Amino acid sequence: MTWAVETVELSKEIEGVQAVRDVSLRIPAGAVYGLIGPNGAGKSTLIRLLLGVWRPTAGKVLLFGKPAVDPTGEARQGVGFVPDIPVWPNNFRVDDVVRWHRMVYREWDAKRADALLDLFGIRRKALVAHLSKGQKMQVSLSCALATRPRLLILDEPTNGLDPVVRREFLQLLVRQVAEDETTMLFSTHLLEDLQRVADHIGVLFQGRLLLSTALEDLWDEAKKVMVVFRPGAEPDVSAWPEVWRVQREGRLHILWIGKAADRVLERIRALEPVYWEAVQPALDDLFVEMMRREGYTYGDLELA
Amino acid sequence: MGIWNWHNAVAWRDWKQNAGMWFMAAGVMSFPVLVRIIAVGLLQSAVLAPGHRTVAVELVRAPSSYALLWVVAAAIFGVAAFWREWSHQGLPAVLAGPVGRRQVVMTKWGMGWLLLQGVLLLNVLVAVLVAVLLGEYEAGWPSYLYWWMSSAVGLSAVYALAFLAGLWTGTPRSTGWTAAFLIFGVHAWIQWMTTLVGRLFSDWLPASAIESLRQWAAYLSVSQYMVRSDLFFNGGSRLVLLAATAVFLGLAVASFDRLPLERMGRAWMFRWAEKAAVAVGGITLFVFAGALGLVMFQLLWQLRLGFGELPPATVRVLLFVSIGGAAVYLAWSLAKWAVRRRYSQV
Amino acid sequence: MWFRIDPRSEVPLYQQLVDQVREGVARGWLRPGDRLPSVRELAVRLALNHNTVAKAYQELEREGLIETLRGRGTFVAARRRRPASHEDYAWVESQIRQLLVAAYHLGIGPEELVDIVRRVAAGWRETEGGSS
Repeated sequence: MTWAVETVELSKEIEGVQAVRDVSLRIPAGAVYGLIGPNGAGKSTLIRLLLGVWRPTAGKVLLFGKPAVDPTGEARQGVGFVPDIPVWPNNFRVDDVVRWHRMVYREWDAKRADALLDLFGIRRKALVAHLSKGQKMQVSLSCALATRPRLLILDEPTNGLDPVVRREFLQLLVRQVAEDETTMLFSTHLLEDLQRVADHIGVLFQGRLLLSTALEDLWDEAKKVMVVFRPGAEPDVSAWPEVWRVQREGRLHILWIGKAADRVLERIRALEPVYWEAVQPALDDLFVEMMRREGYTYGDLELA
Repeated sequence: MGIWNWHNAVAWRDWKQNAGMWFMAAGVMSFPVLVRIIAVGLLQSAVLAPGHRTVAVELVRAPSSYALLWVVAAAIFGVAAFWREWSHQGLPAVLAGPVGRRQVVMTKWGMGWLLLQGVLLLNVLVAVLVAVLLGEYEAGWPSYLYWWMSSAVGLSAVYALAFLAGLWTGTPRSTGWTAAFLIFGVHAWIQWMTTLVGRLFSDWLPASAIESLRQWAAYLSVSQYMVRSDLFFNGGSRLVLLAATAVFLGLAVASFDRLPLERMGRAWMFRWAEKAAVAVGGITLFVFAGALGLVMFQLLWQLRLGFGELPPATVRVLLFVSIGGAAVYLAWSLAKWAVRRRYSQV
Repeated sequence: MWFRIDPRSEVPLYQQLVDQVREGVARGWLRPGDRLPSVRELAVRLALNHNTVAKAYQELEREGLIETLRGRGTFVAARRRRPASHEDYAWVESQIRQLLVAAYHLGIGPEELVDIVRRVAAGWRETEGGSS
């Protein structure tokens, strides 16, 4: 199988700091992959590595099976990119940005670009440098969508946008994925966007990929189990490898299970507990547990 | 679909952002020939004014009269290639698209170089045409040809060096300084340093060695090949410059392939360019401070204390080195303290 | 549209959709034959991943609340006239018992609770009075 994005033990060191370490990431075609992590986790670095703008210290990146570090740039044909801060030469007008994309991308769809820019109400003659951050993002997104990408990569697309524009952005992204079956990767530090739009999720923390899975699988694998064992038959649940954390309130055990919940539930059932119930944990609680398990402070993870 | 040829796109983008600097460079370059001819033609019906009949031929006879401007123009062409990239840091946005690094660097090089050569050719043709019209072409056709060839090759080398300086330094300001130093200043700097040391220890160092070092230093500044007639019309130096241009081009392509563009899209790989600048400054300080200290010591020794003879060379070398070293150490710690202070205040 | 999605809720997003359609059908906002937006339309409108919406529709179809007619769209299904089973009654009773316990601890007795149920139920189903 060819993955839309595949990285193999990717590492990047910048000035002695390991910004990304040993990231092995696979995104199937058609997935909406949300990359989440606190500021400074290495999300932008990873994205630049994926695009081949930066060279990895070790490992490699494949886009649809082709190396991303490509002297001809052909590997990025069909890969749209919306940077966190769009930068254009000072004398570029919106028209010029559009023209650049038209010249560079083979699948350019002028009608779509016009329609999107009209939707956002962007003046074509405006200097890009004079636009607000939100408008720059709108120009960037319009151009990226008009290239009819097979893969769309967005670096913090909703960061710093007002709620209306943010909603508009998410709607456009969903539509793009639904219409063109585009594979999408976006980074964010907002769980809310991720939960809405993504069907795959990657958690990046201090350069390491803690988790990379389909949300569906995560719901199957991860559970919060409340259980009251029979007196005298209380097992040492904290020793079970699948259990991330045990909270106790009286005789009630609350177990956070990160993976293979089925197996754990079987074992619990075999012990014939007085009472047990498994619920789906909220994503933000799961993250908190994940970070705690890794021994990290999670105070800077914004769980909005 | 439209035109999607990347070459056009990169060239168009370069045109869009560099046109201003290119026009400036073309203007500077055309000043000696085009502007003078136009001015002469406008101000006094020139063709007959005897003082101006030789206007064009003079250029061939004495290239040094305009060479400095041409070198400056070629340097602007070279520096323009990356100047704006560093000032607005837009290069990562370009490289994130389906554009190859080699294409970007080759297009940048090619655009600037072709414009430079085009403006040069235009100037040469007009100058020759005017000379012929005035009946002043006695310099002979081969000499015009050599003139053009030497200029073309020499300016290519200047352009290449400026291009490389732009690519390696990563900020507009350091691009400018580095290019200026490499093109105009290397030989002068070496000559100052060697002269100073040579004078101080004239009784001890062989004067011929100092002199030959001074002579050789001239070959290090590209601008010298344009300014000095003996080098300018020399076939050998043409070959040297051609080879240098080729090497610089290769270096530029190879290093652009590996350009990391970390830290907000700046060329962070070549931080050693900064270190080299610090080293140049340090050596300069060392020599000047050492020389100043030694001279003052010698004055004291001879005038105040009344000794006729200078102290032995070893003593003076020791003094020179220790005073210079002390000055560098002092400046270094001062700079470190200043940097720390600045950061701690932030 | 009356869908309201709260990504911060503990309830999974697809479940929120399912619950809201179920409520809509129960309260008569959605009548048999009413057309629901397509998966794609709804996904774009709510800015939700279309797998989430598709999963909700699957769930609703499994429960028999909606039906998809190929090429024509998704519609609210005709109500099944299956009589409630003993288990169903047992389940409702257990819910009421829980409610009684909770109400008791809030100082609301059984009679008062019945009054409350009657009052809420009266205004609950908008269309009950006129059409049937």
